[in-house]
Amino acid sequence: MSKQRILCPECQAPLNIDASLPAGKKIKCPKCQAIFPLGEPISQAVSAEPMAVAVAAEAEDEDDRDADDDRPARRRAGPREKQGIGAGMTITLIAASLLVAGGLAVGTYFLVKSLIPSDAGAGDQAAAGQPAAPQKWQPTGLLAKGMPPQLTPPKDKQNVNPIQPNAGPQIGQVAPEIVAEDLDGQTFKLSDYRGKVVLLDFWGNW
Amino acid sequence: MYPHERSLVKKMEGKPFALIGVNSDRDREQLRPTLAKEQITWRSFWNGAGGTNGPISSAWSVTGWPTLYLIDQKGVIRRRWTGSPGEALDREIETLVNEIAASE
Repeated sequence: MSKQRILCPECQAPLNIDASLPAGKKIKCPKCQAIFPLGEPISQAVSAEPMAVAVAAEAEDEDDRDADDDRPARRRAGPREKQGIGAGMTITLIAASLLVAGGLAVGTYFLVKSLIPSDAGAGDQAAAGQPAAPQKWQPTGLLAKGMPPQLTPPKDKQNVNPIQPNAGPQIGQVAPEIVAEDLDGQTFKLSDYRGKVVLLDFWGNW
Repeated sequence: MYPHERSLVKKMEGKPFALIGVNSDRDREQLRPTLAKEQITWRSFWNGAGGTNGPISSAWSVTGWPTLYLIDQKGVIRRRWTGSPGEALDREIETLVNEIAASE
């Protein structure tokens, strides 16, 4: 792809551009950011005074259009954005404060609500002439209904593969007796080997 | 583990030592070809049809296989290994067997 060299009409910086670009194509100078339409090939554009003037005039047109559309908008946008940010921040802060305050209020309401009924109950008892029992916080709702009466598993589930790593016979303890069948169905006991050193090998063929 | 066990049994032949297994396979019949092929001559308790959830491994809190317990001549547990203990196993066994010889 061939290149042509032109000079920026604004800052006179030499620019290498694609030679296949048609005349009139708008170019933005990377140096001074000026936008101008591409003129005739460089030799004429630079040497021919009228053409240079024409290019300059078109560039001014471009500037005018810019002035109409783009730049004032940008100028306007600046302050407006700042105002927007300021106002937005304020609104956000107020909203956040309201949320926090609301959350605290709701939380306090439920906390108080969970405490008050037992107080009221105690008050009723006192009014009925019974001694007021010591105040205790009672779980209410899901906590009270969902809790199983005990945390220990049912008896038939106990001692099946306990998870505690240190459970079971410990070093220094006498080995618990084992009475079980061997692989041929003959029952024997671990204590049959008392008097010998025993390597008890829990194994499986998998 | 089988070759180590075989060599251990052979090395300790005639000495006051016994290798006792607790087998945790669910099916004893399926195990027979392996017993023959691997020359597993030492006796094993069977942990039952529950396999690794059987009563012996549960009572001993064994949750990893192999797990080895070394028990001295008085029935006291002296060492425990989970996984293959390697050469340390032979040394520990010989130490305990020598204790018996020294006490006689």
